[in-house]
Amino acid sequence: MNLEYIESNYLDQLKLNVKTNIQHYLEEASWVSSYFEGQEWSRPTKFRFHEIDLLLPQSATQHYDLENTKRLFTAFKELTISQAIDERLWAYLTHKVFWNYMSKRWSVDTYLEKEDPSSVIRERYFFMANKDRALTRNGISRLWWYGYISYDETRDDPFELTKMLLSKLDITQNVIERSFSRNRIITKSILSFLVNIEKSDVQDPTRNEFRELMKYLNQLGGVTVLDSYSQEELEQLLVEELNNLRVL
Amino acid sequence: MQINFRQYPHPVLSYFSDDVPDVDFQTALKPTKTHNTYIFDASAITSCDGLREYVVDRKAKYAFHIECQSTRYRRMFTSFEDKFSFEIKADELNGKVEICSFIISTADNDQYRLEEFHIDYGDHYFSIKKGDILAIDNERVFYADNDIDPLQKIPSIFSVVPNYNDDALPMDFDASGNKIVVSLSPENFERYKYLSVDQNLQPLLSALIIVPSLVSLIESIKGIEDALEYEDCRWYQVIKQKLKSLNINLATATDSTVIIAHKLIGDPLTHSLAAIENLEAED
Repeated sequence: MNLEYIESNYLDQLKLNVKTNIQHYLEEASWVSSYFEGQEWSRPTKFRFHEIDLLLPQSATQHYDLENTKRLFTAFKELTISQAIDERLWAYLTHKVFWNYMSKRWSVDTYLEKEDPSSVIRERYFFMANKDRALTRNGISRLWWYGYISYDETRDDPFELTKMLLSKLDITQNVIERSFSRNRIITKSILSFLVNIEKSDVQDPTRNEFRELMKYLNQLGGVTVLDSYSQEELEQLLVEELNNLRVL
Repeated sequence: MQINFRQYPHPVLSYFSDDVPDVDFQTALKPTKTHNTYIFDASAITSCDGLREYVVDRKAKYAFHIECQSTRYRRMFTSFEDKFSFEIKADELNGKVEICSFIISTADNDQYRLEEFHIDYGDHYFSIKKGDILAIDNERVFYADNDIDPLQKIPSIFSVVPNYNDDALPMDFDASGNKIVVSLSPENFERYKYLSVDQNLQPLLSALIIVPSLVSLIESIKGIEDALEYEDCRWYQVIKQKLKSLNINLATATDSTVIIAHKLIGDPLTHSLAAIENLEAED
């Protein structure tokens, strides 16, 4: 099927009226077509993809983010970067194609008691103001970007690094939300370092050790341009720093 | 990549310190866009003989660090040559692109010392690592936008939408995104929708709806800090280019913001009054 996107004017209208439309976000089925009934609110792109189902969360901790990242990234692997940063496209997917998944994964009724539930909708169904962070906060685009930064086709399992990225919330956040992670070599170095440790006899870094390692990279980046290192060199630096932490 | 006024454990030739005085490091980066690629012509020059020798001996190299927040692009391009080119796929850059240029070390070195170091360093040697920054030029920013057309009409950066919120005002606007979103109360939006079908009334609607927001925004972007806040918004870049094409410099302009707004969208007031005159005549 052809991927569609929401026309700018209609997207602006949806974003502006989130507060008024909050009850719509509790509906079982996608409501946008009837909301804009008779109006050409969406348009098709030339991008074709195979229809996919995303797995619905089974509990508060069983979200299937890894499996869904694999499914979504595989189906949308050929997206260009300019398409992958386009809010109109992801907003269509959250409001229409993956409505069922979105309403289970980011169930709005759980946010109704919060001070500003509409901000959660803006963050998960649209793009928030911070452009970098918006990509990994939107309920569907985050799955694509997780795949994009960690997919490695040189590995037997190209999603091996993705699995590590999504294995713990602490790893996901510490890697994604640091500016050095925009360099995919740096991101892959960190994930590959963790995968190698997991496969070896060495004990996995504790939560505190991992945070210290990320701090170390941040501090190192203040003096040294991290981007000048190869993946192997960065992995070696992390191995050495972990050893240093364990000696202290 | 934020570089300004960092402290380094070794002397760094920079515009913000006197670690290496009386010499400088300057770079230039010229982007040219083809259909789907940005080609960057980079050049670097330093009057520091010691650092130049390091580059010739391949102990250091010139580096340009390119980072674009909105596409999550970050990469460094390096060379031992003082002039070189590199390419980036056009769709990997969008909006604000930050560029930092350096001379960086290519290997660990426990004996780093230049004749040009500040006299206070005496005969001291420093330990540097591969990738360490040895010289920095000013950070710069360039705006990559495949959609910006200098001939683009100003109204295309506006989006007029109905505001169904309980606290909706007759008219308001939000300029935090790529377009300036003008929101109208539901009654006003219905009237706007009905009137906007008539081409003759377009100038009148521009004067009523677009001009007030534009005047307010021009007032804001006259101040440097607000301009920085909006730098990453597409509407701001379109207005900036349009002002440039009209030879209007907001910092030095003597015209009021009302006059500038009218110049930007082609004098809607005169056209509006003429349209009203015609309506009167038809009656």
